Amino acid sequence: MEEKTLLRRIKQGDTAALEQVIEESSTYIASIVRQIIGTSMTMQDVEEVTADVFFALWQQAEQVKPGHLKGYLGAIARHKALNKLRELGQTVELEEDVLLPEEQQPDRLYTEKEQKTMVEAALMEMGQPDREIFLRHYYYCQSVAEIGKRMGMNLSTVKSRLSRGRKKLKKQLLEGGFSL
Amino acid sequence: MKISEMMQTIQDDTVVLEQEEAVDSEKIKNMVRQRIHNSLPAPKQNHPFRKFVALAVAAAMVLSLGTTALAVSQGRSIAELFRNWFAGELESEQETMLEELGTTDFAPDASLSVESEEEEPPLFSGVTRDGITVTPMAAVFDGYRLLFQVKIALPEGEVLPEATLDYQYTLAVQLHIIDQVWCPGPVEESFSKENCKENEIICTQDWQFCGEKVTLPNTVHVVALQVENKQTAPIDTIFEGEWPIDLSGLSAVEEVSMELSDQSFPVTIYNDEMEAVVSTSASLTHMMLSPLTVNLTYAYHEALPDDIFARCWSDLRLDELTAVKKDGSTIPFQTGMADYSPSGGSCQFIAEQPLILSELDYLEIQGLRIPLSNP
Repeated sequence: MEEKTLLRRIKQGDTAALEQVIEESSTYIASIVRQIIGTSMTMQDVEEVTADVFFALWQQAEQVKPGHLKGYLGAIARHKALNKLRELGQTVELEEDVLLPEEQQPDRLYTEKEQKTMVEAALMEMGQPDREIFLRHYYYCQSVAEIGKRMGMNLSTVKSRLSRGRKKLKKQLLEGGFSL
Repeated sequence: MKISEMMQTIQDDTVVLEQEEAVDSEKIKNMVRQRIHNSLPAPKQNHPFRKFVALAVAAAMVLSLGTTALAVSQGRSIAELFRNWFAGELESEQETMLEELGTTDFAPDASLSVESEEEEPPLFSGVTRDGITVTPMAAVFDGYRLLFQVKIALPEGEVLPEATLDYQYTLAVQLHIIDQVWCPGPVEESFSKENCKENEIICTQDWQFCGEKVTLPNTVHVVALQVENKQTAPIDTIFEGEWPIDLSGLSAVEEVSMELSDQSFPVTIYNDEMEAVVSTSASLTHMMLSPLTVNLTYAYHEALPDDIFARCWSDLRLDELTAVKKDGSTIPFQTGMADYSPSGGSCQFIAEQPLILSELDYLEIQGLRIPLSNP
């Protein structure tokens, strides 16, 4: 069944369509959840969060544009996995994650849409493999060591490419009016 | 401000994470079913879960229909061939309505057939060119909406896999609507392998024509089948050419057209940020009801600024149209195509079940009732 038909049928309340999405995407979603919550939880926890993701789709299918289902599910998986970690008082440690300390706020709050535009522009400017490294680390919360292992690079290479990515993001933020 | 927090504004589907261990999808399904069940309030009409049950029952009911009076294609009635395109359990009158609107009886294009006055014309089994056969299965048309289903067969030995989220087909069809310069593509299409061999696949397309009744041409041309593999990115053309299909067995039915008055309702128009820009009022001016669709036309009481739709993301949204039957039961609609201007516009609504006019009492939208006289 085509994605737009699946979404239309889920909106209509057809659980068979939802189950097709689960059949095709559950391993993909579980891999994102497992990546973020790591070894701090059991397989049962991973499955619970994965089920929460598909239940969110059931409740919010009207927000998903055809052609964007995979990205939507991935973003929900990331969000819910990070929430689960917070519930347990845990956080993920990322390289120089703080761009702007809390006491040094920008002149005005930027809308989510503005931030999205800047992040997308920075990712576009990065090119490969820097973009994938940046996403693996800051989006999927993969450690530097894990990225190095998966992409066949040593730690210093991964770190320097992440540093280049941060500079490109900072550049976009400065051009967008942030004072860093 | 953290980078990881900014990243939550985007949706990524480009990175393929390593999948070391497959999860038990049946277990996940059960967990999601339980969440849906737990979320249900006290029994209520039209709840999604109840609707799903109705859909399942409907599928079973349609499969059990054995009447030989129905037009069939490869042993299946029109209602059965299009069962995924309607919600809930169809009544026998609705199935009969689909039979009247549609056809499974297609003739070969005259230019392709070898005719002999003495011989009965052969059973039409599709148009074969370059080893590829396109066979029309069924079509239903009410003047404003066309449901069209074809089976495509590649030469024996080739494979057309099941469509998935990562492997999506598109069927290009040329449908030159008579008297219309602009011809839209189908609003939706789906691909199925049900009752198909490895080298076959069935495509169903839903064409919706907003506002004006259209006249179909005698022939529709299937011109290409493409597939997009989202894992490997490129779009691949499986075949290109021209496979003409005869549509002359279809013609629009009489619809019910009604001028409306005293049907006023408030309107708010929003900008990109969902801030209200204009608050005004409008009146429904015209309704057209056909067996598969309803078209409503409206006019603003005062014309809006000319640039309003350059500043705002859309026109007003007429939604939640419901047809109420004389027995009190209801048929919901989905919002379809819309056409709008600063002075007014029209909206198309797609019925979730075929409409039998004599059974309908009124339509309800935005708190307004549109009584339907018995034809």
